[in-house]
Amino acid sequence: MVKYIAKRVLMMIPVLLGVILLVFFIMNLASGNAVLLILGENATEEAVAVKTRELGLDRPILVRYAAYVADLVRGDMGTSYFSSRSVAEEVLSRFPATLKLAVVSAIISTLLAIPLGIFAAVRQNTLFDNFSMILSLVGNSMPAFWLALMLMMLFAEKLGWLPAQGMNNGWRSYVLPAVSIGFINMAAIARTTRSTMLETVRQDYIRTARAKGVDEEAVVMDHAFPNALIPTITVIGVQFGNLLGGAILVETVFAWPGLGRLMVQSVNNRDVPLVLGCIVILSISYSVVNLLVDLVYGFVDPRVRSMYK
Amino acid sequence: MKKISKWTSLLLAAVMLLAILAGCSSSTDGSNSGSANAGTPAGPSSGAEVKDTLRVAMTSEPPSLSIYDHSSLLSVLMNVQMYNGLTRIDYTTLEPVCDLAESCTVENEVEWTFVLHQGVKFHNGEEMTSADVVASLEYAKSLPAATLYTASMEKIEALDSYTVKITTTEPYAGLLYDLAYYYNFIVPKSLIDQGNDFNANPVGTGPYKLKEWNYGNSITLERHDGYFQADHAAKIPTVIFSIVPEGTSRTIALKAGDVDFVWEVNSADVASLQDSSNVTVAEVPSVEAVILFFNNDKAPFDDANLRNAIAAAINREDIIAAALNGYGTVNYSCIAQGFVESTDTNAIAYDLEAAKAYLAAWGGDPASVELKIICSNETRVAIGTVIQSNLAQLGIPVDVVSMDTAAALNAWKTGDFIATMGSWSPSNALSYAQRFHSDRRQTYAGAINSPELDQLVNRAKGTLDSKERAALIDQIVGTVNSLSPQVTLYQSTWYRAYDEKLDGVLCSATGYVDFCDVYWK
Repeated sequence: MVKYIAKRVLMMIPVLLGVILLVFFIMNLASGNAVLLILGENATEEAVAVKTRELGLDRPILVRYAAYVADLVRGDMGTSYFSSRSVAEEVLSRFPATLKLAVVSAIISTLLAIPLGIFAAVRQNTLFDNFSMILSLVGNSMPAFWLALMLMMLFAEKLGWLPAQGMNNGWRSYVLPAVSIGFINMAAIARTTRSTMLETVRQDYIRTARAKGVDEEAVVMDHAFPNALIPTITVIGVQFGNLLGGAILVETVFAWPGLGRLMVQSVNNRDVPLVLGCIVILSISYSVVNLLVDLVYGFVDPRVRSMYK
Repeated sequence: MKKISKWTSLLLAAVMLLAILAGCSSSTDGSNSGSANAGTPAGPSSGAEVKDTLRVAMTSEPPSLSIYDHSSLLSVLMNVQMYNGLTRIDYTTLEPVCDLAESCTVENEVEWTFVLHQGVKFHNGEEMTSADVVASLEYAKSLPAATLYTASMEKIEALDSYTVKITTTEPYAGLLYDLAYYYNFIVPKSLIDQGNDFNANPVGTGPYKLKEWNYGNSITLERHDGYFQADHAAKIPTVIFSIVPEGTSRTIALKAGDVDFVWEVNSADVASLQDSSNVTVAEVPSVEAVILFFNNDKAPFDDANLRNAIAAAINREDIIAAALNGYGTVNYSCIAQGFVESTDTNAIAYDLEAAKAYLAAWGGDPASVELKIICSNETRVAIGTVIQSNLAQLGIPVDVVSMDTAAALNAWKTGDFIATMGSWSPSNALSYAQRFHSDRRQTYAGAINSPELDQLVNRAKGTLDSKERAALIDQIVGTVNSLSPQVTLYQSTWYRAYDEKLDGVLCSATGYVDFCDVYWK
């Protein structure tokens, strides 16, 4: 197991280098740079030249790339062109907000979706099944930012129960953004759970269990559900990984100070070190989540666990 | 039973995790602690209790709290709360008035003497003296980004601890305006010498000082108790600037009582806020002009008749109605209306027949004009579409090109454009006039190579008598309007909205608000 984990961690290095290479060149080849955005429209040629030199943008792109990677290896993610603050400081100050929102949203979506999916499967073609699938369809079709605005209008403006923006009000700040994201993600998890459960409950071993007189609840929860869980875990893992990149629209609507908003802002500002800092954290997080998902596979399925040895 | 409890325990674990996360988050930002409304869910300022906090919603995070190395209006908004200059722009008259300077005397055409207020304290407790003024202005002069606002100052001398003499390179009427420019704000000499990072440690003499910067979330300012002007001292002890990028969210946050002041109201939300009880909406006619610039160096836009034809064919009323929800002011002149010296001499108003006459005088084929207009946001794309429709009546094809701000600026600066939209909001008419000088060609797309115009601008800059200067500015405006190196499309109207229990709100036509003057009724 340790060897497997070590191998996966080592595999992150080429992934990171590849992502950095790609993003670095895309950002540098995009039209415009940070200098004019910092100095403004009426900057003189001299001011532009001085700032360009100060930011190191007068050096060839390959030299800048090499310098960036060399600094990164030493743990230095550089300095933001705009704020002149350390990129590590900026990114790490935003990441906890994103992580917390992602965890709360994932818990909400999972707690709602799995029972919904299981009941829909065991009561296939009933009113409940139809209702749950309509709910999933609505969740899949509805833009998260629209749901976020509707929830905000109802619970913040009309009822005044919850804050409309920011994360300064403790647990109450989390409710609306987490429900907005959680409801949308719930749809995909519920559909996946339902379809894999439907497939599993038709397996021979389920029929055998029922023939042996095993209690129906035990058949569903002990025999069918664990075997149907792997695709569901995959979907949850993918969604959680995506959330770590920042639920940009929901973060924007709720003024959530997360990584997604920072990344969009830094792309617009052509703040290359900050974009790369976000990407590095995002890539590492995504890789770690994938690794955890693979480890959870082993936890729920002994056949997978045996492959780690 | 045993198995069922496994799932129950998983559920309980998840609920516990939620609770732990909620607990961890409760102290993310303690900035609400000063608010009398903290902890109450909704409703602006319930009860008669006077709040000690003002919560302002801003569109984005200011890139810097320093007075150096930025060109952001939001940063300037922060700067004016925390720093002072020798002069400041009066928000009502838009004229420069003394600020840190108690008095200003023009000794002769190039020598200006400033007597400083005594007992002025910086946020770090040091007393401000003429040594700080000299150091600050010299430091600003050393920065290439500030050249336009510092180049006129040839010599800055401390005559004694509270008297400063500034000698200009030539007679220069814009000095008092330039001294109110944020790069020329006064900071402690000791911190300049230490190489202080004024973004991380913004120390000025202003009515507010930085308490906390929660990156990406909020900036909290607290009252500077040692502020030197009693009538301008902060009335509300704490101001929290929250970053709320989405316009509708800002509106809902104000209605819900989460914030007290919305810095920028989306035009789509103005009507809803005006209908809302407990909210005051301030309509601020600004001095910001939104302008269509041509690349006057390139044919066919080097011909004034073609530019005049386009100027006469664009219906500004259409633009305001269709692209701005009716919120904007028509202006045909090259200078914003609202300054004492503002004028519309020779302005080319919307007149299709006149446009056709200008086009005939140009003599070219309108279909051959490739007018690609760079637009850097959605509103400008909508404006571009209206222009497209207007110019179709002259047979001029228009291509609306959408770019983000960085790409649009790059095109502008490299000269790789045919036409682009931009906006300007200088605080005075002389700044507007100066921009048409040919030496600004690199920094201002509306500048043109005209020796006659250059001479007029030079004379206006050097004329200290305000009446004579106004007459010269009128001539400059008349000349520029007759050549249309740029087409003014409209003047922006800004909307600020705030809790009706707030008073003392003065929204300047330049865009700023002194939050120190705001108080709870």
